[in-house]
Amino acid sequence: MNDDELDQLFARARQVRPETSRAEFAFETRLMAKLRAEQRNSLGLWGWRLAPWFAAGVVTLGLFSWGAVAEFASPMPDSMADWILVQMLVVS
Amino acid sequence: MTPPGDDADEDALVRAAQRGDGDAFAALVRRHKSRVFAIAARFARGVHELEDLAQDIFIRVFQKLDGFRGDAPFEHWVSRLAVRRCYDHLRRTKFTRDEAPLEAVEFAVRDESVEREAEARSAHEVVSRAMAELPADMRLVLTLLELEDRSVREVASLTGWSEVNVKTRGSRARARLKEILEAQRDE
Repeated sequence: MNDDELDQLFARARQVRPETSRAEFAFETRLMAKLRAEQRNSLGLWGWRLAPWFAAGVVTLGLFSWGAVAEFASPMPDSMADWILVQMLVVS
Repeated sequence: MTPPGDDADEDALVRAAQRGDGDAFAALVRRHKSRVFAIAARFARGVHELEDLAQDIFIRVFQKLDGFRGDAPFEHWVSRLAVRRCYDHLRRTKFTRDEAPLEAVEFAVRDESVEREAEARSAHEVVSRAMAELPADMRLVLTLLELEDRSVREVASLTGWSEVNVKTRGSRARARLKEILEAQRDE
Protein backbone atom coordinates (compact mmCIF):
# COMPACT_ATOMS: atom_id res chain seq x y z
CA MET A 1 0.00 0.00 0.00
CA ASN A 2 1.40 3.40 -0.92
CA ASP A 3 0.85 6.81 0.73
CA ASP A 4 -1.80 7.88 -1.80
CA GLU A 5 -3.88 4.77 -1.15
CA LEU A 6 -3.64 5.35 2.58
CA ASP A 7 -4.61 9.02 2.17
CA GLN A 8 -7.65 7.99 0.12
CA LEU A 9 -8.63 5.44 2.75
CA PHE A 10 -8.39 8.10 5.46
CA ALA A 11 -10.33 10.60 3.32
CA ARG A 12 -13.20 8.13 2.97
CA ALA A 13 -13.05 7.15 6.65
CA ARG A 14 -13.16 10.85 7.63
CA GLN A 15 -16.66 11.09 6.17
CA VAL A 16 -17.86 8.96 9.09
CA ARG A 17 -18.38 10.96 12.25
CA PRO A 18 -19.34 9.70 15.73
CA GLU A 19 -23.06 10.21 16.36
CA THR A 20 -23.35 10.71 20.10
CA SER A 21 -26.51 12.77 20.57
CA ARG A 22 -28.38 9.85 22.19
CA ALA A 23 -25.49 9.14 24.57
CA GLU A 24 -25.34 12.84 25.46
CA PHE A 25 -29.00 12.98 26.52
CA ALA A 26 -29.29 14.16 30.16
CA PHE A 27 -25.59 13.52 30.60
CA GLU A 28 -25.11 16.53 32.89
CA THR A 29 -27.80 15.22 35.26
CA ARG A 30 -26.05 11.86 35.57
CA LEU A 31 -22.66 13.54 35.93
CA MET A 32 -23.79 15.90 38.69
CA ALA A 33 -25.36 12.97 40.57
CA LYS A 34 -22.06 11.09 40.32
CA LEU A 35 -20.08 14.14 41.44
CA ARG A 36 -22.33 14.58 44.49
CA ALA A 37 -21.99 10.87 45.32
CA GLU A 38 -18.20 11.08 44.99
CA GLN A 39 -18.08 14.12 47.25
CA ARG A 40 -20.18 12.30 49.87
CA ASN A 41 -17.95 9.23 49.60
CA SER A 42 -14.81 11.31 49.92
CA LEU A 43 -16.19 12.99 53.08
CA GLY A 44 -16.99 9.57 54.54
CA LEU A 45 -13.56 8.32 53.53
CA TRP A 46 -11.90 11.26 55.26
CA GLY A 47 -13.96 10.50 58.35
CA TRP A 48 -12.62 6.93 58.40
CA ARG A 49 -9.07 8.12 57.69
CA LEU A 50 -9.20 10.56 60.57
CA ALA A 51 -10.79 8.12 63.02
CA PRO A 52 -7.49 6.62 64.33
CA TRP A 53 -6.05 10.13 64.84
CA PHE A 54 -9.19 11.16 66.67
CA ALA A 55 -9.01 8.04 68.86
CA ALA A 56 -5.32 8.68 69.57
CA GLY A 57 -6.18 12.30 70.51
CA VAL A 58 -8.90 11.15 72.89
CA VAL A 59 -6.54 8.65 74.54
CA THR A 60 -3.77 11.27 74.88
CA LEU A 61 -6.19 13.79 76.34
CA GLY A 62 -7.49 11.15 78.77
CA LEU A 63 -3.98 10.25 79.90
CA PHE A 64 -3.06 13.91 80.28
CA SER A 65 -6.13 14.73 82.37
CA TRP A 66 -5.66 11.59 84.46
CA GLY A 67 -2.04 12.64 85.11
CA ALA A 68 -3.05 16.17 85.98
CA VAL A 69 -5.78 15.00 88.38
CA ALA A 70 -3.41 12.48 89.97
CA GLU A 71 -0.77 15.19 90.47
CA PHE A 72 -3.34 17.56 91.94
CA ALA A 73 -4.65 14.90 94.33
CA SER A 74 -1.23 13.67 95.44
CA PRO A 75 0.47 15.09 98.55
CA MET A 76 3.17 17.68 98.10
CA PRO A 77 6.46 16.50 96.62
CA ASP A 78 8.80 14.68 99.00
CA SER A 79 11.49 17.37 98.78
CA MET A 80 9.02 20.04 99.90
CA ALA A 81 7.76 17.83 102.73
CA ASP A 82 11.36 17.29 103.89
CA TRP A 83 12.04 21.00 103.78
CA ILE A 84 8.94 21.80 105.86
CA LEU A 85 9.90 19.09 108.39
CA VAL A 86 13.40 20.57 108.71
CA GLN A 87 11.95 24.07 109.19
CA MET A 88 9.58 22.81 111.90
CA LEU A 89 12.46 21.08 113.72
CA VAL A 90 14.56 24.25 113.51
CA VAL A 91 11.72 26.39 114.83
CA SER A 92 10.99 24.00 117.67
CA MET B 1 -27.10 36.31 43.76
CA THR B 2 -28.82 34.12 41.14
CA PRO B 3 -26.77 31.41 39.48
CA PRO B 4 -25.68 32.22 35.93
CA GLY B 5 -27.89 30.53 33.31
CA ASP B 6 -26.91 28.69 30.15
CA ASP B 7 -26.76 31.93 28.18
CA ALA B 8 -24.32 33.55 30.62
CA ASP B 9 -20.89 34.31 29.24
CA GLU B 10 -18.30 31.60 29.63
CA ASP B 11 -15.98 33.51 31.96
CA ALA B 12 -18.84 34.15 34.39
CA LEU B 13 -19.81 30.47 34.32
CA VAL B 14 -16.22 29.37 34.90
CA ARG B 15 -15.76 31.81 37.80
CA ALA B 16 -19.03 30.70 39.37
CA ALA B 17 -18.09 27.02 38.95
CA GLN B 18 -14.69 27.74 40.53
CA ARG B 19 -16.57 29.16 43.54
CA GLY B 20 -18.40 25.83 43.81
CA ASP B 21 -21.63 26.69 41.97
CA GLY B 22 -22.97 23.33 40.74
CA ASP B 23 -25.50 24.91 38.36
CA ALA B 24 -22.73 26.85 36.63
CA PHE B 25 -20.66 23.70 36.26
CA ALA B 26 -23.68 21.84 34.83
CA ALA B 27 -24.14 24.69 32.32
CA LEU B 28 -20.49 24.36 31.29
CA VAL B 29 -20.95 20.61 30.85
CA ARG B 30 -24.05 21.20 28.69
CA ARG B 31 -22.03 23.60 26.55
CA HIS B 32 -19.01 21.38 26.02
CA LYS B 33 -20.35 17.83 26.18
CA SER B 34 -20.69 17.45 22.38
CA ARG B 35 -17.02 18.27 21.88
CA VAL B 36 -15.96 15.86 24.64
CA PHE B 37 -18.23 13.06 23.39
CA ALA B 38 -16.91 13.51 19.83
CA ILE B 39 -13.34 13.04 21.07
CA ALA B 40 -14.14 10.19 23.48
CA ALA B 41 -16.22 8.28 20.91
CA ARG B 42 -13.10 7.75 18.83
CA PHE B 43 -11.51 5.76 21.65
CA ALA B 44 -14.41 4.06 23.46
CA ARG B 45 -15.42 0.50 22.65
CA GLY B 46 -19.09 0.95 23.36
CA VAL B 47 -21.74 3.32 24.67
CA HIS B 48 -21.11 2.35 28.29
CA GLU B 49 -17.39 2.93 27.97
CA LEU B 50 -18.15 6.20 26.18
CA GLU B 51 -20.35 7.36 29.08
CA ASP B 52 -17.68 6.34 31.62
CA LEU B 53 -14.93 8.06 29.67
CA ALA B 54 -16.95 11.26 29.25
CA GLN B 55 -17.79 11.24 32.98
CA ASP B 56 -14.13 10.70 33.87
CA ILE B 57 -13.15 13.64 31.66
CA PHE B 58 -15.67 16.01 33.23
CA ILE B 59 -14.81 14.86 36.75
CA ARG B 60 -11.20 15.70 35.91
CA VAL B 61 -12.37 19.08 34.60
CA PHE B 62 -14.22 19.65 37.88
CA GLN B 63 -11.19 18.64 39.98
CA LYS B 64 -8.79 20.82 38.01
CA LEU B 65 -11.11 23.80 37.58
CA ASP B 66 -9.29 25.87 40.18
CA GLY B 67 -6.13 25.56 38.09
CA PHE B 68 -7.79 27.12 35.01
CA ARG B 69 -6.37 30.63 34.71
CA GLY B 70 -7.96 31.61 31.40
CA ASP B 71 -4.69 31.71 29.46
CA ALA B 72 -6.35 29.67 26.69
CA PRO B 73 -10.07 29.46 25.82
CA PHE B 74 -11.99 27.17 28.18
CA GLU B 75 -13.10 24.88 25.32
CA HIS B 76 -9.48 24.32 24.35
CA TRP B 77 -8.55 23.57 27.96
CA VAL B 78 -11.40 21.03 28.15
CA SER B 79 -10.37 19.43 24.84
CA ARG B 80 -6.80 19.10 26.08
CA LEU B 81 -7.95 17.34 29.25
CA ALA B 82 -10.23 15.11 27.15
CA VAL B 83 -7.45 14.09 24.77
CA ARG B 84 -5.03 13.36 27.62
CA ARG B 85 -7.66 11.34 29.47
CA CYS B 86 -8.41 9.38 26.27
CA TYR B 87 -4.69 8.70 25.87
CA ASP B 88 -4.56 7.32 29.44
CA HIS B 89 -7.58 5.18 28.58
CA LEU B 90 -5.86 3.85 25.43
CA ARG B 91 -2.71 3.02 27.37
CA ARG B 92 -4.68 1.15 30.04
CA THR B 93 -6.95 -0.72 27.64
CA LYS B 94 -5.79 -3.59 25.50
CA PHE B 95 -7.71 -3.38 22.24
CA THR B 96 -8.06 -6.27 19.85
CA ARG B 97 -9.12 -6.17 16.26
CA ASP B 98 -12.61 -7.35 17.18
CA GLU B 99 -13.03 -4.58 19.72
CA ALA B 100 -12.65 -1.68 17.32
CA PRO B 101 -14.92 1.10 18.58
CA LEU B 102 -17.27 1.24 15.63
CA GLU B 103 -19.69 -1.53 16.58
CA ALA B 104 -21.31 -0.08 19.63
CA VAL B 105 -20.88 3.66 19.11
CA GLU B 106 -23.08 5.08 16.39
CA PHE B 107 -21.39 6.82 13.49
CA ALA B 108 -23.04 9.09 10.96
CA VAL B 109 -21.86 9.66 7.41
CA ARG B 110 -21.70 13.19 6.00
CA ASP B 111 -22.19 12.11 2.41
CA GLU B 112 -25.80 11.21 1.72
CA SER B 113 -25.51 9.06 -1.40
CA VAL B 114 -25.99 5.39 -0.58
CA GLU B 115 -22.95 4.21 -2.50
CA ARG B 116 -20.62 6.82 -1.00
CA GLU B 117 -21.99 6.13 2.45
CA ALA B 118 -21.26 2.41 2.08
CA GLU B 119 -17.74 3.21 0.88
CA ALA B 120 -17.14 5.55 3.78
CA ARG B 121 -18.42 3.06 6.33
CA SER B 122 -16.33 0.29 4.84
CA ALA B 123 -13.19 2.49 4.87
CA HIS B 124 -13.92 3.52 8.44
CA GLU B 125 -14.28 -0.09 9.48
CA VAL B 126 -11.03 -1.10 7.80
CA VAL B 127 -9.14 1.81 9.38
CA SER B 128 -10.65 1.23 12.83
CA ARG B 129 -9.81 -2.47 12.85
CA ALA B 130 -6.25 -1.83 11.74
CA MET B 131 -5.79 1.02 14.22
CA ALA B 132 -6.97 -1.20 17.06
CA GLU B 133 -3.66 -3.06 16.64
CA LEU B 134 -1.52 0.05 17.05
CA PRO B 135 0.08 1.17 20.32
CA ALA B 136 -1.71 3.97 22.19
CA ASP B 137 0.48 6.88 21.06
CA MET B 138 0.27 5.91 17.38
CA ARG B 139 -3.44 5.44 17.62
CA LEU B 140 -3.94 8.79 19.27
CA VAL B 141 -1.81 10.69 16.79
CA LEU B 142 -3.42 9.07 13.73
CA THR B 143 -6.92 9.61 15.08
CA LEU B 144 -6.26 13.30 15.65
CA LEU B 145 -4.26 13.94 12.47
CA GLU B 146 -6.05 11.74 9.97
CA LEU B 147 -9.57 11.06 11.23
CA GLU B 148 -10.18 14.34 13.04
CA ASP B 149 -8.18 16.18 10.37
CA ARG B 150 -6.37 18.40 12.88
CA SER B 151 -3.13 20.23 12.14
CA VAL B 152 0.22 19.19 13.61
CA ARG B 153 0.20 22.34 15.75
CA GLU B 154 -3.29 21.54 17.12
CA VAL B 155 -2.28 17.97 17.93
CA ALA B 156 0.88 19.19 19.65
CA SER B 157 -1.16 21.59 21.74
CA LEU B 158 -3.76 18.95 22.64
CA THR B 159 -1.30 16.21 23.53
CA GLY B 160 1.46 18.32 25.06
CA TRP B 161 3.98 16.78 22.64
CA SER B 162 6.29 18.95 20.52
CA GLU B 163 5.40 19.46 16.85
CA VAL B 164 8.48 17.48 15.80
CA ASN B 165 7.39 14.67 18.09
CA VAL B 166 3.88 14.69 16.59
CA LYS B 167 5.30 14.53 13.04
CA THR B 168 7.68 11.70 13.96
CA ARG B 169 5.01 9.67 15.74
CA GLY B 170 2.59 10.39 12.88
CA SER B 171 4.91 9.09 10.17
CA ARG B 172 5.87 6.02 12.24
CA ALA B 173 2.19 5.34 12.86
CA ARG B 174 1.36 5.61 9.14
CA ALA B 175 4.17 3.20 8.29
CA ARG B 176 2.99 0.71 10.92
CA LEU B 177 -0.63 1.05 9.79
CA LYS B 178 0.35 0.33 6.19
CA GLU B 179 2.06 -2.88 7.34
CA ILE B 180 -1.03 -3.92 9.29
CA LEU B 181 -3.35 -3.15 6.37
CA GLU B 182 -1.14 -5.11 3.97
CA ALA B 183 -1.07 -8.05 6.36
CA GLN B 184 -4.86 -7.91 6.69
CA ARG B 185 -5.24 -7.74 2.91
CA ASP B 186 -3.10 -10.88 2.56
CA GLU B 187 -5.12 -12.84 5.15
